[in-house]
Amino acid sequence: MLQGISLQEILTRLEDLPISQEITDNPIWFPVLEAMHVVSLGLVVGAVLFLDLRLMGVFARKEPMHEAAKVIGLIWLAAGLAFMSGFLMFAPAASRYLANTAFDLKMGLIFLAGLNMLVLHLGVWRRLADWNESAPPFAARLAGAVSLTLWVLIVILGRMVPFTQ
Amino acid sequence: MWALAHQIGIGINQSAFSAWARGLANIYFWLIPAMQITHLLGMSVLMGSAGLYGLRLARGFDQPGIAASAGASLLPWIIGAALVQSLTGVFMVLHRPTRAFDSLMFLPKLALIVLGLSLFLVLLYKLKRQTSERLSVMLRLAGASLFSCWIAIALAGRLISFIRAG
Repeated sequence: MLQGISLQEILTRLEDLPISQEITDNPIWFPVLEAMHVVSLGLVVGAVLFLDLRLMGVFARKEPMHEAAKVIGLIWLAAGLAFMSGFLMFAPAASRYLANTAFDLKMGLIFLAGLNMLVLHLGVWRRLADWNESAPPFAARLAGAVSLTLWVLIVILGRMVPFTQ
Repeated sequence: MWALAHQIGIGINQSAFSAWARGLANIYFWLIPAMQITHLLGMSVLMGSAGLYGLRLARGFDQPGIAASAGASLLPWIIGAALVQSLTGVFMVLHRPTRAFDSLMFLPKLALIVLGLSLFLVLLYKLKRQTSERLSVMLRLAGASLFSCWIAIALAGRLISFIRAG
């Protein structure tokens, strides 16, 4: 269906959606969406940070990993809210956002963070019972360090979006 | 009350401290974005520590004995993040005092921060003295309040620029 449609046309269609028009015309939407985005992203980053530190074996080492990992459900919920509010802010000005270097880098790093999480879950996480109450294996510590670095960079780039072209 | 807050904002704006902050921000263009990023990261640490600890209490721990030690291990992070938040927050207020004091969200945010930090400390004190194997309903409710408090702080902080008095 998308064959023959250029990226610019897709962006223009997004900008012309009724919801995009509503968000542009009604001044209440942007503060609401931005507040929702920042709070949900703050929750994601805060939860991921302590989970990553536990994975790296530098925080709450005595706490069983399965206890610390109980926040994963909330991370998904908050990430869903961050994605939804982020998309609603992106749609009305899609062309402008996509031309912004900080925004593009942020999206790239979110993709990498997701990939890192997928690799962790398909790999060493399956053998959690082996290291639930002991020092995490190297693969888990590495995944934690990569995730921590990526999410800090995502926050920095997100804040840089209004300041860059 | 808001008129008084406005006057305080104007007073700070005319002070030497505020002039110093504006002068620094004029020389170093990256200073305010750097402060905002640090403030945002500090808020994430507080939400991930004090806020999520409240949520974990509300849901209950599988091993209740862990609740107190988990809270105690978060304390240095909370103190560190609160210090970072105070320093960056004070600088940003000095840079543009009326932006903060003319907002309906700034003073409630400060009050909520005091409440959020106090509630965490009270919970930690209670948990350390708990003898029963299960978390009481009151402790779990207090945990839910702690989580809600930190969500409200983040929301109020983000809305400072948008919701003005008068």
